[in-house]
Amino acid sequence: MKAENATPQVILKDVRKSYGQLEVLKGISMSVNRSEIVSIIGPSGSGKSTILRCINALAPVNAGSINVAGIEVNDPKLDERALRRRVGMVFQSYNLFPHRTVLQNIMMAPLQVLKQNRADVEQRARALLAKVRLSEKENAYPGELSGGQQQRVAIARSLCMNPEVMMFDEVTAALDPETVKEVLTTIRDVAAEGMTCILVTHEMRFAREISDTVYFTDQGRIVESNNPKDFFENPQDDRTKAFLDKVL
Amino acid sequence: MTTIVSWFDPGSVWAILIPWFPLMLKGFGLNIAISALSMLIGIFAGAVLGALQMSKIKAIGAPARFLTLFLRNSPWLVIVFYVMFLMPFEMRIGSHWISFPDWVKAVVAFSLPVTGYISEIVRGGMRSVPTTQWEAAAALAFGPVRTAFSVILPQAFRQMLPPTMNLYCSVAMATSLANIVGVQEVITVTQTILTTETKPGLILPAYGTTLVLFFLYVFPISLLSRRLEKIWGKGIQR
Repeated sequence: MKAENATPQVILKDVRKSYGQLEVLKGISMSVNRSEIVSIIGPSGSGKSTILRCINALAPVNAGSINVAGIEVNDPKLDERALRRRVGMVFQSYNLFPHRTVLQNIMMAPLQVLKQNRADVEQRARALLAKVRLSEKENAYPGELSGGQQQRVAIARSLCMNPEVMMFDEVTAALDPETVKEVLTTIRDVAAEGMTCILVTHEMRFAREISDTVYFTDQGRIVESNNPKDFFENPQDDRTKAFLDKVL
Repeated sequence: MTTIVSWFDPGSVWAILIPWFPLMLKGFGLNIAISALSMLIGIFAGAVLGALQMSKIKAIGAPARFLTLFLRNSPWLVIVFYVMFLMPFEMRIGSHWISFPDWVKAVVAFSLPVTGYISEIVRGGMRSVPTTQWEAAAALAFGPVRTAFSVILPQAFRQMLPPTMNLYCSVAMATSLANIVGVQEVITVTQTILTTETKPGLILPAYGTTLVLFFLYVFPISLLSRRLEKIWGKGIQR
């Protein structure tokens, strides 16, 4: 497994993406190794979330190439479902299925998409619920949970597909300050287990603490990337400096 | 005034009419059967058509949209006439001859507008579910069809049930149109009774009875639908 640790698992090369006339990504290149934790930060509208949406093909790219664990994402014959089995994604607005209980939310995709054995899935789902510290809520409906609890269920739901890469799209942005912590703790646990993680976040302190690499995006381009210590203590680009001055 | 008084005169109008009641009820049974069957067919066909309307592929979505509009905006009576005279009374499938009695044709006729209305109800219901639900399902490797059935439609169901019940009320009432093409439903039966008895004083009580029959059947459904609308109108708690 050692050799694999150095191999890039997600590779973006000169990715361009437009919505109508508006070019949101103007040539994004980045590479994420197995078990690496990457944070993408930057002002709103800089294309951070779009990068994630391109990686799991929720948003098709206009140019450039994306490779995830050997799958060419902009191959016209792409098997989207095969790709999305490998890449989990957690959204800012949780997006749990409101008509299903917590446990059902977690079990649905492995049962229906992967056609896995119910007993196995249930066991795994319960273990994940314990991991996000919500075992007692397995029969609750999403509407009965707090935002932070819903987001932890969303993380467990994504993990139950056994993905190789997890993407977190501003997952704490809609939460109360006091519940942010519980979600960050959950992400920290996930990262600690060796999961490849790509985070779009506004939590600078968290990004600094958890990341192996921090990327700064502005106006559809990657302005700067570095290890967190140098990135935060010694930013090179003026735009990075200006942004960090504002948010820190 | 005299006619009104005579309605309640024992041994007169009602005395003549009451023995006919079983026949009228039998006729009304056919109205219910026609409405229920055409609703059933229309719900299945309409669900498919509604789902096709949602398709992102233009070659599928546009014709489905057009067909929906066409079915919704055709007068029901015209459709009834059209189907009555267009459909053969029997049809050969393999070595079997299948015959279509008039009431079957009526079922086919009414299921057409129902298909159009259901298609629109399904589309509206699916639209009412936020697109983020589609995204969340897609990110979990659900395909579009499975997403529709496992995630979207169950949430849209509450939105769709009250208008579907209202539609059923309309269909139940509209089945009286089938009398024009000779189906032995309650209005046709009533007309037969009137010609048999040849008493002008019977006309109002006889039609009044059918009116009451329809009202007794439709009103509770309509009430329930309105109540559900009130309870569910607030939408699912998110």
